[in-house]
Amino acid sequence: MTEILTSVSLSDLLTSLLLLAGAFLILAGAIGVARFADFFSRVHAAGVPSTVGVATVLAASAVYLSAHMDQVFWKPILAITGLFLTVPLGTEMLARAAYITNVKPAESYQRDDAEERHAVEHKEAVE
Amino acid sequence: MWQQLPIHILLTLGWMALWGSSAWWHAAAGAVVGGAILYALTKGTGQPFYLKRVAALVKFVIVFLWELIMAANFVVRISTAPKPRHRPGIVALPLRLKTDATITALTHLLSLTPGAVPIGISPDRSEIFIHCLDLNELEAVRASKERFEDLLLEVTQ
Amino acid sequence: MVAWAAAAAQAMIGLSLLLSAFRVLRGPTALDRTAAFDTFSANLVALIAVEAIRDLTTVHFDLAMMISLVPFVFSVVVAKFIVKGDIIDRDTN
Repeated sequence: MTEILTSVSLSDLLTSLLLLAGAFLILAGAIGVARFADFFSRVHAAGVPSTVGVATVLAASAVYLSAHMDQVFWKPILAITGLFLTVPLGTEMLARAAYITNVKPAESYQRDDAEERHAVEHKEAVE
Repeated sequence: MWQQLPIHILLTLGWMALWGSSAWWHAAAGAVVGGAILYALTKGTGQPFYLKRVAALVKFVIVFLWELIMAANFVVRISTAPKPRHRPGIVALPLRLKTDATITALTHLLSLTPGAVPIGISPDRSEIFIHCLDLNELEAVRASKERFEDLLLEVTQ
Repeated sequence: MVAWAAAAAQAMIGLSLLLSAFRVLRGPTALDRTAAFDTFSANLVALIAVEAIRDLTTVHFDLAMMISLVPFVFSVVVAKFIVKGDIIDRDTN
């Protein structure tokens, strides 16, 4: 038992944990994207879990490659920054476009404040 | 206020020059001593101390990471539930931020919080419209919006 | 241990690539396809990262960085086009 424990290095353990957690998040997000009934729910599933999951997997690769190449490897950090700056904006623009062009939810909303206050002007979608 | 940063760097470099060494512990000691001198000076001149802003920024990042983990957990729970029972809806929440930059930052952060995607703000900038994945969790969305707004106000004032 | 974890992660990410590809092909509206494509390319970045762990190379990472930035441009362009029928305009909304 102790042999197994000592033969596994800390960076390997951390890499494995991060990899599995990130892959699980990515899978959950993709399941949401594939099975949710309407566009807005799908956009929720497309945004957060896959961003966090990909960031976790990239962090795992940064840890592992830094530990095995004897120098700190910065490129995954750069990719994580890029993801966090871009994906939320894209999600938000898509959701806004969907709301403006009147994409209908699967069941009608129980509460829609924006509609009540006529805050958003609806338009026809160009397709 | 941010002109305190180059002064701090200069004080640190001066400390290192006095010791005639570029070792990291001299740099760290110089940063501490420079910070103490700057803090004393800001007490005299009544300016806000810039490291307080930096501390607010660090707190902001930590809160943001925690919110991110909660968000992922929330969406995973809903997307892997055997029967999705969420009630989506669009709510209007009051908006205290006024400038373009802070509102952009707030919408950016909100789209990463549990089940909330902002879809627009009212023309007079008094309300923000948020699409909630689950109206049962509305209080959580409101709480995280308030927290982000507080932190943004703290960082930019 | 890392080899096992990497293989499992690769299998899970491959499955999620299939699921999001299903939504890209199926999605009723163009916005659905675009959102699913966002997820698809993010998953591709993760797959490249796992591949780099398995092969212990760093040559793929420039590719991963490029792939992580392209879908953003794509979704912004699609969102603007769907709303306005035009991509480059002087309107700031």
